[in-house]
Amino acid sequence: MSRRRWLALLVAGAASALLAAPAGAQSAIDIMKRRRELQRVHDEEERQILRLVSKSGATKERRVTRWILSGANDLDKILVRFQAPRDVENTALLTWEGKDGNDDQWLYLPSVKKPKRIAASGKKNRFMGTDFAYEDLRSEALAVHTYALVGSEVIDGADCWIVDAKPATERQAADSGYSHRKLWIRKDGYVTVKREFYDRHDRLEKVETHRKLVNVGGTTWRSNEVETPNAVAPASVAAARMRTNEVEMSDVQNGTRTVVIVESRAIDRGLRDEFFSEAELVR
Amino acid sequence: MTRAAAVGLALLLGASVAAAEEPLRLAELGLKGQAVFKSFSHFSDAASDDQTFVDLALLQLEWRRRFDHWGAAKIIAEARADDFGYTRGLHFQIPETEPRRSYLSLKEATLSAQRGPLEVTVGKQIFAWGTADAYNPTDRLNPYDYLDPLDNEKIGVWSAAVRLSAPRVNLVVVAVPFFTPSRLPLEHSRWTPTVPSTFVAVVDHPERPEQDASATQWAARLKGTLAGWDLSLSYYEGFEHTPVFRGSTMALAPGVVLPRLSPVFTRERVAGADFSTTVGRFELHGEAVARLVEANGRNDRFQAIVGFNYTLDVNHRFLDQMLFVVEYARETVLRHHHGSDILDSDRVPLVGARLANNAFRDAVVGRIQAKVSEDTVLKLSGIADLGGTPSHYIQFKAAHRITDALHVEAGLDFLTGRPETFWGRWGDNDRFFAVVRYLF
Repeated sequence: MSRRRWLALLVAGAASALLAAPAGAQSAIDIMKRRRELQRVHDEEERQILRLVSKSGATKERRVTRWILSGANDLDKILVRFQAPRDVENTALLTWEGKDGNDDQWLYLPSVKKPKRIAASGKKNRFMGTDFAYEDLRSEALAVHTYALVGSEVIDGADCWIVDAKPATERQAADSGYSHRKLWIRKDGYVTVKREFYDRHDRLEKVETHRKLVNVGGTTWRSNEVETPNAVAPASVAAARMRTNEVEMSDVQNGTRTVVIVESRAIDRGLRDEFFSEAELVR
Repeated sequence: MTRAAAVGLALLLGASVAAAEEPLRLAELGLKGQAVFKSFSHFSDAASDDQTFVDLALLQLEWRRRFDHWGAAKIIAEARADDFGYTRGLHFQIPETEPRRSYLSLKEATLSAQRGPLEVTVGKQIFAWGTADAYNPTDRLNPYDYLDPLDNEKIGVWSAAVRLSAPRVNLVVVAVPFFTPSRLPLEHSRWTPTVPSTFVAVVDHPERPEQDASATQWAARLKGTLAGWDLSLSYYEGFEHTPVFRGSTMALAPGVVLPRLSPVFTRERVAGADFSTTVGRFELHGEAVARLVEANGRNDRFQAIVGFNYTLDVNHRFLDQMLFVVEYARETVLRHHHGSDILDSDRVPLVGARLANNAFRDAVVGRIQAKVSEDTVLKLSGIADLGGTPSHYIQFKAAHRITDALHVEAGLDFLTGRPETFWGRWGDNDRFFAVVRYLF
């Protein structure tokens, strides 16, 4: 083979490697970090309807408000308060994410009139009858998981990475109810559109699907059911803040479902650290 | 059908109809509430009370309003009826000193104003301090309604509270200008312990503190969160809400002298601390106080309780979750006030602990809770008083949520021990109970 042909092959190889780099060279943790960076806001308030669907199809509704404050070192503070029905009204959960997944978490039950610190074992318990465990409600804890890119799949016309997340520390493995989770993250907008949760015996336990993506400004998107019709995801959502306005968590083992429908949302309205305190929790 | 049962059913029906026909109108008014009917069936007569069935009905209306950026208001009003006589008349008092409940009353009524981290709340308030489940020695601000000691509830106090909040620390200072005593079992109730016929004494009416500046009680609590620990320091200066007995004698005739018991209220200073943290799957908590007598007290005391909660996920078809709570409470005497004429309520001659007001001198508390489903919970709880001759209180309860609005619960209370012990004095009061609650 001539020297010129070798050179041509070398250039072609290098070029194809470079072209493949944007998608292929990005590691799973890079994707997770980028996702967090793009979708992160200073603070957020969502009013949600939780529709609990039993195995027989009977439904119950709960209304909650959820506030999130992004903190330093990617550690968020989250307050969830039930607004209805009457028997759970004002029940609230406050989470301060901690390093290594070592969160502080308090539950306020109005009948007791004081907050109660929840132990780690409680974090995998289901939150107030929904199909969400307490740990499902916290932000993704990058520091205590290992992430592996396990494939790609097109969901609702959008190409997604499939990232497998496993507990990386003994503490997280002990505290979590899951052996691992799979996350489907859109390649164009770094937004999670699906999650699968596998129990400690590695059996599929729950599937969470996100629908009705909306742009909530800049690079941040969410999913929503009641947002204006023109707020649906455009063909290209690169560099957009995305939110999903409808999330469904299906327990494939028990046959139950919880559908979360976002009624309204406010982003970056200047919530302060003081809001995520005992004083607000017991209010 | 008893009067209270009829009233209870009427309240439940009224609430149901109101909620069903005019839910929007109630909501528009900002009104919410609950109707509760309770029925207690005792298995035997008591020496002082042969009424074995007691029914109670309660209608509670709640109005809340949050004012943008600056404050909030809350009113919880109650209408009550029962067929034992716990409730009689219409009386609105500040402070509440009537031995019976009023047919209509305010449970809470508060107005709050907030500016930045500072919040001031005035009105009739209920406070809840401490981290333990069964008993909170640091929680001293509210008296209790002990007309039925097993079905007790807190009584609100007219007070002013200032709260200063920071993300990890908050300070609450409370002033209570009037003294409200706990409501004690009625004279002929089965909950008023009978004393041996050999014990004859003159018992006076309670001597309540003068309602002047000297009756003011105040308390403060500094609470912080540090490295996974919730830590609090608290201080209370005021009265114990249940009376102790001052002993003296009364000469009825020459050579005829009887013991005389005068119920009085101990003025005390209480310094306390509590904690809560998590270790793996356990939530650990504890509280301790030093109760130092200022007046009408026999002993300075140290009281503490420690315990843990443990939740076990079962995830079985017929059993979702188990919760275990174990606590140990202890009281020790720090200093005996020599010359005090206050009787040791645990050891009154011939009476024993029949007049005692503290079940947690040396006690083990346990609770096992089985969550069968999101709607059904079974509970077995017990307190063993190990101070002296043991006595016990055991409760089994099943609670079921029929709908989000309609809840029922039923259970059994058992009290064991010798008649002169804390729980044994109510040995005739074993009972079955049922509660229906409608929320609207």
